[in-house]
Amino acid sequence: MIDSRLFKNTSYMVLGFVFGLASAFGIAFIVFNDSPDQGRSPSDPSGNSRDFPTTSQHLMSSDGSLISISNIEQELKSKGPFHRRLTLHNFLSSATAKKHGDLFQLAENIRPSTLRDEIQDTVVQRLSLLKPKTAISLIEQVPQGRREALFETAFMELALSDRDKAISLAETLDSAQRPSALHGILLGSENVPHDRLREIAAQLGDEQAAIDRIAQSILGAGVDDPSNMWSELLNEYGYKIESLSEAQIQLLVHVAKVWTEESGTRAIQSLYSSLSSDDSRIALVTNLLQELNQSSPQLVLEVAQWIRETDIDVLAEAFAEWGSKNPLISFEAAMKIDTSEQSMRMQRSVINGWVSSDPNSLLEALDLLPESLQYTSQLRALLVMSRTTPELVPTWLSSVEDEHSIEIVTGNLIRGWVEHDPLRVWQWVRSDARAKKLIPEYIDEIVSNLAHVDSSLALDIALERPIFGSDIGLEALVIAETTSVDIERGIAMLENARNQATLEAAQSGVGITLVKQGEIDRVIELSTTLPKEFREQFFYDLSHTWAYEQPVSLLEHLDSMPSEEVKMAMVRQLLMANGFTQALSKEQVDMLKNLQSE
Amino acid sequence: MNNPKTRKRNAFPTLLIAIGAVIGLTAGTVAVLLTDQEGSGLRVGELKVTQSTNGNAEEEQANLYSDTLKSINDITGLVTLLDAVNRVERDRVLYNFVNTTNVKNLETLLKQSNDISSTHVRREVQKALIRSLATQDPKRILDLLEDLDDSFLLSLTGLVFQEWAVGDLDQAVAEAAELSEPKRRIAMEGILTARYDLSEIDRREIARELGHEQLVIDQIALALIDDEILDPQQAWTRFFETFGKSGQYSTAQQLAIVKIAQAWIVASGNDVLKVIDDALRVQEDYVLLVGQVLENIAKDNPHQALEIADTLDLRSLSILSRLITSATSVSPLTALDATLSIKKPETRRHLQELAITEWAKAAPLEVLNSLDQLPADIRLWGQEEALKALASESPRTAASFLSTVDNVRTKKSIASAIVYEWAKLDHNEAIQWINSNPDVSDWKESLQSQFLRGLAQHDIQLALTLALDEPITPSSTVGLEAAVIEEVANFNVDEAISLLNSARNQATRQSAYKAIGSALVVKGRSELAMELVAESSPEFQYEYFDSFRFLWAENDPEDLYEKLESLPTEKIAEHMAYTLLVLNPFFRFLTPEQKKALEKYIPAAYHPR
Repeated sequence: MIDSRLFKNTSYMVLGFVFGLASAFGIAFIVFNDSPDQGRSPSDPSGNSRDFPTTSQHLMSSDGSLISISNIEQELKSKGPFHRRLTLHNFLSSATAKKHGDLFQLAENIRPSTLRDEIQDTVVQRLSLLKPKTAISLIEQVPQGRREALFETAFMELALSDRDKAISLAETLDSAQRPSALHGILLGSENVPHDRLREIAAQLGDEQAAIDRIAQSILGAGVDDPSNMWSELLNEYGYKIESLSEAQIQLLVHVAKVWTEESGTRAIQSLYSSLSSDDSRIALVTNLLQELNQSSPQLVLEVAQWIRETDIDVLAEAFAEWGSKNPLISFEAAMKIDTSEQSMRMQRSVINGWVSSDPNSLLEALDLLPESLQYTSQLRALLVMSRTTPELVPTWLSSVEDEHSIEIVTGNLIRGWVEHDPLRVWQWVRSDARAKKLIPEYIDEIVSNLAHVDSSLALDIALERPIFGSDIGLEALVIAETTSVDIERGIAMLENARNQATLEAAQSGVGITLVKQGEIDRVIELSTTLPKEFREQFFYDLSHTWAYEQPVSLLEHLDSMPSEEVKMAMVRQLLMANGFTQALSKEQVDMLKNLQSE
Repeated sequence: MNNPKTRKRNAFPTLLIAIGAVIGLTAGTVAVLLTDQEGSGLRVGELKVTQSTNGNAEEEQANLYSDTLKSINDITGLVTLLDAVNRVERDRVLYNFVNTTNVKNLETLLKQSNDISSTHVRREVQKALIRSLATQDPKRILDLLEDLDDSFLLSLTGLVFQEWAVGDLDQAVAEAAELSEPKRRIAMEGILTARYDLSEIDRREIARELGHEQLVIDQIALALIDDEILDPQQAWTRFFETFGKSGQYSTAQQLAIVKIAQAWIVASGNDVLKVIDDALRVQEDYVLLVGQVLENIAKDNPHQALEIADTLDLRSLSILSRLITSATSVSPLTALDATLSIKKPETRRHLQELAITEWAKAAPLEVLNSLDQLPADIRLWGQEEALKALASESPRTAASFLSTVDNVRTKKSIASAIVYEWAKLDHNEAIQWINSNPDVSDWKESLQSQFLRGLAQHDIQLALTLALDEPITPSSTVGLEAAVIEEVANFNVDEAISLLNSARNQATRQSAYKAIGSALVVKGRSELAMELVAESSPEFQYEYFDSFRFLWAENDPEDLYEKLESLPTEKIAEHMAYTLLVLNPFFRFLTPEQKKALEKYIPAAYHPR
């Protein structure tokens, strides 16, 4: 009886327990499940949060209706930044994960882009905690260029909440997205020991990211004891400042700056002597001068003068580096440091850096330089541009008055430019009166290059040029060069030679070109068409090129030479050339030496 | 009539079920909370509210929180509140709290906010407080900002102006105009960010007033390419309507026009090339702009990019170089293949070298494994380039490839690069390789010297000890320590001078003197450079000064001019004066008087005209 009642009572309680448990899970399912079909939020259906009541006016639109996805854009646009954020957070608080996604996608078409970014960032910030994988898939829908910031936000939030989970999730990302995720994790890992940060970063494939983040956080925290911090950082980073990352250099330079601002040249002395190589000192001084110039410009002169007295070269290199990055400001500083017109090394250093990084702007700023430096700056800038952007030089050159400069630049310009764009060079030299005068000096280079791109034009130009003392017309050169790009065309052009001397020079030129291209059978074929009296000379003309560029083939063709004399000349050439090329084996060299001694 | 006892008995099972239900509900709730804690990042001890659909309970709850909020009157209380709430709701709680708190209290909190230890929380709190306060009295909040954490000040200033511009645009602009840089620029950015509703004309006007019109011009340009360019032709027209057809564009404008042009070519093919080319040719930055367009296209299709260059009759080496570099970063072999269409041999070769250099820098082993796919005439060069690049990455691996190099000159040059880099990483392995490898035995001495130079970069004393261990051979009277001293002179001339005593003989010392003298004159210490050889023979003195005469004249001509009188012999002075005169046409560092004065050092035949 007792057992039966106990059984019944227990059954009632179990039934109640099961009902209670089911109710709890049922409610939890309704409350926490935010799958699209449920349409329920982490908060209650009335829009109030689980953990904080919402100010009701921020859930109502301006017309009194409840804010929904259909009118959220209008609502957000009607508010200032503070109230917009308030409304956005309150709206999202009552939104399901699906609604978060809907808003994210809606925002994609909201303009201006700053508003779009603000909304998407807020959505991602929340969703990364609620449904991290959904957040990631949303981010992956936006163009690559905008993913970085969103991944950072998502993973920073995740790391602030559950770092291990953030790391595991980051590991599932592809290599293009992982750096942003890592950056976010590092941002969200405050007060984590540095060793652990480095471990995390190494795990995600970029330990340097943690080193840089640590440097940035130290930088943000301020420097109390710069002298001590400088020593500690050097011990940790090593003494080769120049090979450190940008963030590490930035931190070191900041510490140096604070120290210098506190202690003046005493600090500089200590900083300078703590480094043992010029490259490290240059890296420090370059950056320190720039930093000081922004925060304590009055110290730049003091520091620079101390370094100038200690090692003028370090200062000059630092100015050159500074000049390549920020020429106008560095030049201004250099003018103050160069004490007289007789001592312009710092200004010249700035120009050294400037001319290599941006010669065009140096030309534009010419009037700002002291007169004594204008000439050399202009000349050097134009010479650099003659190599790098020759197309721009003619325009600049037209404003140059100095005859000496014009001559130097024009020559360099033609030589550098004609190799790659002979047509434009030809057009320019014919149209520019000052360049035109130099045509006789450079015509060989022009037509030989022109032959590669327009052999007919090159031939026409050559045939218009008079034949001078050597009796050899310029067409010989054109024919040889044409052969290098079109053998048949080059050989066919031989008939254009104006006289016998030109024809022979052209034939030798063609032969040399064929040797260079390894077309030895064509050389032999061509030689059979030559008159007997020229054939030997033809091979003599080829001997140097053949011995240096195709020594093995020459060795193999020694018996094809038209005479014993030519053959022996070839043997001598081969032995001489082999001293430089060392292309022949010991046996081959011995064989040649035997031939020579016979 | 119901018997009370019966009623009691009948009610008993219901009571048991109810008790069971309560226990079940409690257990279920605990289980759900524990599960949720893992699932959504909630933490134990968070401030939580039971779900309710009852309006009264809600109101009570709101009142309860209202009381809680009213009780927060210092920053510790606020941080405690934020720490207690679910992370996902933290910003909402913060903004709602700030929204319902009076200005006086907010100001107090702002002043105390520097004490928040977590940077992240501190910044979030400060941003919310400042945004809210700025909606009330932006001018006052600007003063309060001065007491805050300096590193974040600028960004907070921007937030103040965002709110200000919404409340009173004219006043915000007027106030921004009073600020110094860079605060003024940040204030302007804040104003324009918040007032995105303003027309382009108004935005430019405000920016002009605040001295940063270019910033707005850039924003307008970048807005054209903010999204996928659906109608490039329209974007193209709009760009030129907005910014005009000539003049120099800023970097942002260049970026915009390049992207638009690129999108247009992709959408409409080469038919639009002429229109694009005609418009860009009048630009000062033509080369740069067209270069960028082609560079971008080359990433996907280098053949098309080169075809476009050919269509446009573009042979600018800088454009073609950028194009090939860009294509190489994506697919080196495709880039190399594309170069074959270049007719000019010099240009083709230049571009092939460029592609291989870039490729070798990024993946030297890939180059070595693909040598047979390189054009035949550049294969050897590519092998050398790749092995030298590999030497700095992994000298041991590079060494294992050396036997595959046939050309002797190339082999020697690569071996030098290998030992120089290897010495820095593992000097024992490096020296063992030099001593035991028959492939390099012919150049042992030169490789030892190169090895010691590399080692000196890393460990001067060890390099010196190893150098002194090597006997001076009869063929070379100079000890290997000269190489160490010369290398050290490149980065620490004082250390190099202190090593001079280690030189085993005069020839070694003299060899080292030249490197030290060069370093000294560049460093402006020419007096010491002269002292070093004061006791040397006139022949060596001549050789010594000759070794760095151009370096001295180029780096410090004023100093060289001044020192002419102090040089040890007239012959040296003549040589140096001549050097100054030779370089003067390029550098023009001599005044006419100085030029005249130089004549006394040199024979009349060489006097400048």
